[in-house]
Amino acid sequence: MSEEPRRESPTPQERAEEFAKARASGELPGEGINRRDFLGYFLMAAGGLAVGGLAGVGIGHSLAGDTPAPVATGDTVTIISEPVPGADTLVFYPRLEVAKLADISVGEPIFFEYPLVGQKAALVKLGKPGQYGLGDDADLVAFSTACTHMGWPLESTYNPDECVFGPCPGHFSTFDASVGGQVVLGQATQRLPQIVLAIEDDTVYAEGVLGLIYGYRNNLLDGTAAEATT
Amino acid sequence: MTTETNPIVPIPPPDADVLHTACEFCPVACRYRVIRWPVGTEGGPTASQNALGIDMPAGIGQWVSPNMHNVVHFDGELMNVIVQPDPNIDVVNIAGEHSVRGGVLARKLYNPGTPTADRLTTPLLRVRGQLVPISWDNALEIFARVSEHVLETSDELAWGVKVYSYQFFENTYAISKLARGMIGTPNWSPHHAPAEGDDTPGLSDCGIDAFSSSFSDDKEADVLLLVGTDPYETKTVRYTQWMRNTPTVDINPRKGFTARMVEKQGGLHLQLKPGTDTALLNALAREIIEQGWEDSEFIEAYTASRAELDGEGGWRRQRYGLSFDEYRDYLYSKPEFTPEGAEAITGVPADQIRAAAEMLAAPNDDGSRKKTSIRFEKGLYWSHNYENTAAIGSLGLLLGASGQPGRSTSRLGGHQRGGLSGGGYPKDKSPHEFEGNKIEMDTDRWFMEGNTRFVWVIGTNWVGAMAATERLRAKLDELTNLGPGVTSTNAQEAIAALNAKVDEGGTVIVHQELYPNATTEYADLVLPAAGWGEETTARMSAERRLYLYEKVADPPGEAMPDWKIAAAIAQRMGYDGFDWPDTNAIFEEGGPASSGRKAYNELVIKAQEDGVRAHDLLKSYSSRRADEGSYTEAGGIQCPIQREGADLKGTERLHADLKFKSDSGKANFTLADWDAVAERLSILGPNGDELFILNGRVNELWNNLGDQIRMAYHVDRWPANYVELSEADAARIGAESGDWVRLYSDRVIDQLGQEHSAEMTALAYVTDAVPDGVAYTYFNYPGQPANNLVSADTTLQPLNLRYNFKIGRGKAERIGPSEYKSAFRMSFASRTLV
Repeated sequence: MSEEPRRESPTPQERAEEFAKARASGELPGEGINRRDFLGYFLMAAGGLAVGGLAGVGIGHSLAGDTPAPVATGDTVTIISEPVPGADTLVFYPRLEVAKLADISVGEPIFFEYPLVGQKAALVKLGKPGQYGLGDDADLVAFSTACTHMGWPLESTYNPDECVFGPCPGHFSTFDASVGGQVVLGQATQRLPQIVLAIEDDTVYAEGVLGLIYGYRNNLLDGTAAEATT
Repeated sequence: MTTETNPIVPIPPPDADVLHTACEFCPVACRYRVIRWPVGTEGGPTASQNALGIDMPAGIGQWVSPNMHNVVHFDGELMNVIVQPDPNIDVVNIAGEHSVRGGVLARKLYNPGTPTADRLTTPLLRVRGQLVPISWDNALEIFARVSEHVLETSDELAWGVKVYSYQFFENTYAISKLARGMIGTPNWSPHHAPAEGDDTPGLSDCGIDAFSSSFSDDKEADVLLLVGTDPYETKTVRYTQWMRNTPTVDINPRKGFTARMVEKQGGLHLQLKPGTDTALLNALAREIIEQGWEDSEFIEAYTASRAELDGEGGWRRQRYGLSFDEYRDYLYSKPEFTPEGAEAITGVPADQIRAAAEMLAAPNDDGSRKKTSIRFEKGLYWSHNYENTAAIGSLGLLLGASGQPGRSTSRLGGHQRGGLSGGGYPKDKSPHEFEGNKIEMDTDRWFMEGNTRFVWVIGTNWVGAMAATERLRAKLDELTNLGPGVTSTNAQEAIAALNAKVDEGGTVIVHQELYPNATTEYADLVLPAAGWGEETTARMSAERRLYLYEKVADPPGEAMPDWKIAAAIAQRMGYDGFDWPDTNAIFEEGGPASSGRKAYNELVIKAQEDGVRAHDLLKSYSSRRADEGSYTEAGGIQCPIQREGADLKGTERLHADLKFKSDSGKANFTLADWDAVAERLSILGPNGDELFILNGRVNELWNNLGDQIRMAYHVDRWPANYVELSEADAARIGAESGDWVRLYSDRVIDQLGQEHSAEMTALAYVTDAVPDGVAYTYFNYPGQPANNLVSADTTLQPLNLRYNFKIGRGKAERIGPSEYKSAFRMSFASRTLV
């Protein structure tokens, strides 16, 4: 039995940089997902505004009536938007503040709704690096908490020892929060949708969703835009 | 995220076609609704605007996930298809529930823009080593003429069929009508065994039908005994809908999800050493008798006395059948069956055995008898086939667990029941016997001895599914390469070359399949088949609920349903009676041949009286609800189908009249001979630093993965085979989760009794699901078949030719890290959390 050297894992900082770069180029690490898939579907607002492919920075930029200008700062490139005032559909994923870094503890989920009211999600600090994990320890991740099997709530099921959501109280599906919401065991036909996060200064923001949230044909349709919880 | 994100699910418009079908995979046969409409059109988000009948967003159990959608061709038109659990059903899978297998059914359908692109779409002939396209006309000509040559120069024993037992009544009827009815070969074996015959002979010799129960019994029972199965993983919706709240005693060497749930809910998990079920079941029976908890009234009234047994005709029952007194005497004759004696053999503490006996059989507080049901599957009957099934059947009789609500002894099933005989099995022609009694032909042994000249393999991966598969492959390599080789697609030249191979003692292989697999590597001729959703067919579930599977999509290219291929071959060979216009004609013709638990001929008779097609009458039961009528005629109809005046009536459970399958109509106890088991286990079990290498299923995967390996979602979870190792066993070989591990043995016994070496690889998954000394792996992952490490010597259990699939053994060695170990590709989190 020969002892092969174990592949060196990237540092959390390297991982965060790789993640940001990949997002900027439209590719996520090792996944081959294009920007369109990654950011979910950008549906048109009532005015038919097309926004796909834009990259911008600047919190608080309103989309009402005009096209936001792309602004890049360093290699942190994100899509920023807000709910369209007066409209009951989102144009694209808004940036919502989820939590202050100082308020986040390992294994203690912080709950929020994103991007629509009723689309419940949980931010967790895994305590070990996770897929697309952000922060100094690459371990800040967030997931929809609607089980993708039949929509039962997973809020109360986070298991900090195993870093999983589940078993679901309905039919026991269990999802690995450190591996992009992959089903560990159970009946769900999709990974648990991962909320795309960004960190700026001392604050964690939600700004996109990977995968379709249970019950929805489109994460941005058929509901009212959620508001920041903090 | 997986690479196949597909975040769009178009909304079906209100006028979309709505069809009904059932799941392709496990024996629960959950009911599914198919919504089909032309690509390019779409409905709206309110109930009146869509065929789903829901306002969006969807509520619990209403959602169409992206994996429930696909795009297919139907009647040549490009169509959207949604395959979702039928929300209107109140039997089987109530309220839109589904397993992970069924939930991804839509992705089974052929769509060349998905990993299904490599479907076999045209007949292929191996020419100069390569498989090249030929016409159906040439393919049929080659099949017919080479078959005739084999039958003329040898005999029908040299012409074999290896075929699924369950892929719809119409297909199995047509194939068996040709092979058994016309050609008359005993060289016929199902996908899971080297010989035709009974899978649970000991249970049958007790007089009990293996599929006697209904799902309703699981819920109605006061207590369940589960043996050799993890139903959450393998019969999921039966577990979550029907079994989960029933107090349970679970016997399984693995402590998987179901075992953990059983314990969490106050039940007992008896974690026995692999292969020792007979001792444990006999010990439970002895303890029940010791405490006076047996069902004396049932035993007295419905089990046979010695005099009655002496009048029985079957040789097995004559040899192994026991009266109650004889059964009790046997149990008391051996110290191995005391709780302490069984503990020494099985590793299950004596106190746990006593507690389990009490839970299963002690009377209720008011003195009434507990309703006990027994459920088992392959962990039991594919280790020591006869003895284990005799032990479980006898225990069932001891508890009166048969024929009454909540009281039944039954298999859970591995697949649905779709076998219908179009020609009886000619056992009299079998070359094999046991003590002067004819038994079914061991087709693998016959092939390994070089006697088989032609094998028609239909819908199975022969070389992956059988035991000691390394030796099977080696023999195929030898026998398929004899002869001059085909050098031309010209039919006559090809026939001449293949006939020359036959004359030189070689073997011609025809593989009829949806996708190429390991068996295709040896095929001379490949015939493209159509599968689930590509033809209208009938089949029934493990509770005998007969159902019509409507055609959803066109087969790709020139692929044809198996019945149609069999009929075309038969006609080419000059046989009459194969000119069916459609599957309904076969279903109707097969009605009188359906018998026992599958009997559906009353439905055919009623359809003829009503002037409708039998398939259409069956279809009228698809959407019936139990709350509008009866449990037995909802979501299909439970066989055997009976006639009540003008109406059809289903059968909820067999033996309800307390009549059993024997000459006298009485049941009987059956000898479960521990000494025979102990001797066999000493030959097959591990020594020294060998492990038991058990194999079985895992939730997402199904059989040879013909479909799942082409579903991005399932490959994402299981990109390779895995092996569960205990922490101590993993540490001993220096492996961590995600490392490649080599499992190997130089003591695999082949089909002819010779030891040889074999190995497989798998990803280590360190877990508390298995005890030290026991590894567990998926049984038939492409390229990593666990059956390599399973012995194939049927002389070890010679009265019924079944492999000891669940007693593999070998050593483990770490190879090195895999790409999945540290790249967030695959979860190695615990699968035993409850």
